[in-house]
Amino acid sequence: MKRRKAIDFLTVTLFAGILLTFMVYIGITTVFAADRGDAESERKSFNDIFYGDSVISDVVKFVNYRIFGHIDGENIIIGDDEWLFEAVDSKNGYERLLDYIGGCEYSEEELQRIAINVARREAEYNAKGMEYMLVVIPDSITVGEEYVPWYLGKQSERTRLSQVTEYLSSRGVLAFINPTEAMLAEEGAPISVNNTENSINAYGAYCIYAKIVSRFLAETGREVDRIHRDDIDFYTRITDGKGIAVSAGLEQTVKNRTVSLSDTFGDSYETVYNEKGYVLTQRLDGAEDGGECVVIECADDWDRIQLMPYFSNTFDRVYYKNTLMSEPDTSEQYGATLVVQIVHESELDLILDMR
Amino acid sequence: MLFTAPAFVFLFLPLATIFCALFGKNRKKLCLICVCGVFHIMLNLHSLWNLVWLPLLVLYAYFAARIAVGVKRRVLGVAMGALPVVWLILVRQLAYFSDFGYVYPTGITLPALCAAAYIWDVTYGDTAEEDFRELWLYITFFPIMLVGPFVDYQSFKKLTEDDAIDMSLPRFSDGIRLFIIGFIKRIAVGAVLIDGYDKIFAYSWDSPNLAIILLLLMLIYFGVFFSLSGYYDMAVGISRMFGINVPEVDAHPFKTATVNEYSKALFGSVRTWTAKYIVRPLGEATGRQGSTLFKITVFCVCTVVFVRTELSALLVCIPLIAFSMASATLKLDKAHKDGRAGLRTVFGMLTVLVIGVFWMFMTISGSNPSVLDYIADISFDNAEYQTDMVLISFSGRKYLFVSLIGAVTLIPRTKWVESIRARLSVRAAAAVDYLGLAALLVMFVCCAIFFLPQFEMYNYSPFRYIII
Repeated sequence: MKRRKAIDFLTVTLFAGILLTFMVYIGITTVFAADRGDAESERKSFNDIFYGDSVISDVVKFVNYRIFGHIDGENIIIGDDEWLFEAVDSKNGYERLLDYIGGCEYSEEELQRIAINVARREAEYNAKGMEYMLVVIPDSITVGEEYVPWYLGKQSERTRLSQVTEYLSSRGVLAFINPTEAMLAEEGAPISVNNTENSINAYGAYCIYAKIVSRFLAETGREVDRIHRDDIDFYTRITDGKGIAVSAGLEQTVKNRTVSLSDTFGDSYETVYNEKGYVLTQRLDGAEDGGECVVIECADDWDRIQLMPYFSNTFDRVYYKNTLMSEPDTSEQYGATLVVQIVHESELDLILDMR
Repeated sequence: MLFTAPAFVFLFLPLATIFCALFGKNRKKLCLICVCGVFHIMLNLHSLWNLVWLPLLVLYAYFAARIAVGVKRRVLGVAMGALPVVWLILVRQLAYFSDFGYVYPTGITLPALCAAAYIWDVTYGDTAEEDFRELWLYITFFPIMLVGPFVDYQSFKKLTEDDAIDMSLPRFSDGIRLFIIGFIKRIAVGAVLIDGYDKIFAYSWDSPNLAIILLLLMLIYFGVFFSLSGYYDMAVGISRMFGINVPEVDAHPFKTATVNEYSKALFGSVRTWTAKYIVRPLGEATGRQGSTLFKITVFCVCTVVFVRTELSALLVCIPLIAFSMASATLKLDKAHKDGRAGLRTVFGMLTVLVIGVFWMFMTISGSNPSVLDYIADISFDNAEYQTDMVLISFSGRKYLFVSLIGAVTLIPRTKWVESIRARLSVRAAAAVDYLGLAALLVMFVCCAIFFLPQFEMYNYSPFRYIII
C-alpha cells in the first residue's frame, strides 16, 4: 500500500516537474527573445515558440542523425563514415540516385547526338589551331561509391557517365575526359571530393588538372612548367558541414573533411581582371610574347577557385569564364592554345544541346 | 493533435489541474465547468461562429428535451434529437466541401452526438435535466470531445456525482500514466508511421508497385491504430486527472482480427451511439433487430460517415460490410473463437489490408477515383528506384526505435504480463513498478523533446491566442 502511494506520489511529482520545466523554459525563451527585440519573436503563440525553438530543433536534428542514423528529408542519403549524398540534385533536378542504379540510361540516339556535338566542337577548335577538351567532373556519389550505404548496392555499369565515356571512346572522340579513375587512382591519397557536398576539393582539382595537362602535353608535344604531385602537399582539416549538411541543418553535427593545398605552395601569378564571371590571370614570370594561353570554361565558381592555383601557376595566361556558350572565335582572339570546358556529371544533358 | 499541442500539454493542462487542486475540494463540479468553458473559449477564439456553436448546442439540448417532455410526442422528440446530427452534417459539408473558407470547429462531433443522445433519452423516458450546468458539463466535457469514449447522459451523471469525482493522488497518478501512454502512442508511434506513409505515398504516386502498396497499407493501419488508441488513452487519462473515472478503452492492434473487432476497438464511441440510437430503434421499426447484416451495414455506414461525411465515401462500406459478414459467418470474432486460431490469424492479416485500403481512401483527397487510379497503376517499373527511396526514408534506427516504443506501450497491458506480475515477489514487483515509472517518464520526455517538435505540420493551433 505504501509502495503504491510512493509510486503515485513520484508519478505526480515528476510529471508536474516535467510539464512545469517546459512551461518555464518556453516562457523564459519568449521573454528573452522579446527583450532582445527579436522582431520574429513578437506576437507568436506558445506553440510557435515551442516549434521554433532553436535549441529543441538542434537537439532533434542531432539525435535524429547521431542516435538514429536518420535525416528527415527524403532527398538526403546518409552514407558510411559521415558521407552525405543527394538523391536528386537540388540545383538542377538531376536524378542522381536513379542514374546510380542505371535507371535513366541514354538512348542510342542521344549518345550519337552527344558524340556528334563533342566531335564537331573539337573539330571547330582544332580548325583554329586550338586543343579542345570537355571534362566531366564526377559526382561525389561516383567517386565516393565505397561510402554509399550498403542497401543501395554497387553503382550500375549503365550510368550516364560510364555510357557516354564508353561510347565516345569507342568512336575515338578524344576530347571527352572523364577523370573519375584519376580521382580514385592514387593509393593513400586524400579523397578528392567533399563528404558533405557534391563538389571537388583541392586534391580533386589537382587530379583533373593533371589529367588535362598530361593529355595536352601528349597531344601537342609542347612544354609547360607543370606541377607534379611531388611538388605539392595537401592537408585535411575538419570544418563545418557543407551544402548537403547545411540543407539538413546539420552543419555543426556532420563535419566536412576539407582537403586543401598546403600553405607552402606559393602562387606565382596575379589576377589581372575579375569581373562579371570573367577572370584573367597572368604568370609573374611568364613569357614576354604572351606564352601559353588557356581558356577554361566552367559554370561553377567553386570549380574555378579549386582549379586556379594549378592552371594559373602553369600557363602564362589563363582565362576563366563561367559560361559554356563561348565561340571558338573568341578563344582564338585570346591566342588560346587550349580550351577546356568543364561540366558536372549532373549536367551531362548540356552536351546533348550543345551548339 | 489537440491534446498533444504544446500549449495544451505544457500550459493549459498543468494550470487547469492546479486550479482544480486549489479550488476543487468543495466545488469539484464548478471547477470542471469553468475549466471546460475556458478550454472551449481558448479552442475557438479565432472564429465567432465556432465560439457560439457549443453554447447554442447546450441551450438547444436543454430546451429541446424540456419541450419533448412537455409535448409528450415522441415524433417531435425524435425529430428534435435528429437536428444536432443534421446540423453536424451540414457544418461538415460547409467546412470540408465548400469554398467559404469556414474552419470546422474541432471537437464538435461528439458534443453533437451527445446532445442528440440526451434529447432522445429524454424522449424515451429519462428525466430532463433541471440544472443547466450539469448538461453544460456533459456536452462540453473536453477530454472526450474528440474521439470519445461516448458515455450517455445518465452514465455521465453518475460519473460526475460529487462523491464519484475523485481528485485523489491514486486517480490523478493513474490518469497521468494513461495520458503519457496515449501521448507516446500518438506522437512517437502514430505520427511517425503516418509521416512515413505520407512520404512513401508521395514517391510512389505515379507508378506504385505491389510491395510498396503493402508497406503503405501496414503503415497506415498501424499509424492510425496507434494515433486513435493514443487519443483514447489521453482522453481517459485527462478525465481521470480531473477526477472522473471514464472507462478505459482496450485497443490492441494484434488482437483485432476482424473488421468488427477493429471498429469496436477504435470506433467504440460511434458503435455505442449507433447501437443505441440507430440500430435498436430502426431494427424495432423494421422488424430486423436480429439481423446481422442489418447491424453490420448500419455500423459500417455510420463509421464511414463519422470519419468522412461524403456520399462517395459510402462506397467503401461495401468491402467493409462484405468482410464483416464473412467474419460473422465464419464466427471468427473473439466471442465465437473456438479452435479457429489459424483462420483468425489469416483473416487478421487480410483485415489489416482491408482496413489499410479503407484508411488510404479516407486520407486521399479527391475521393474514390484517385484511389482506384492509384491501385490500377500498379506496375513494376522503377521498382528498384522506389525501393531505394523507401530504404532511404527508413534508413537508420528510427523506425526500429518507434516499433520498440509501440511494443513497450502495448505489452505491459497484456494479460500474460499481468499474470507474470502477479507471480512476482513483493520486492521484485516494487522494482518493476519503479522501473516502469522511470521508463514511462523518460519516454515522455523523449517524446516531448524529440518527436513532438518534428510534427509542426500538425501545429493545429488551439489556444492560438495565447501570446506570451
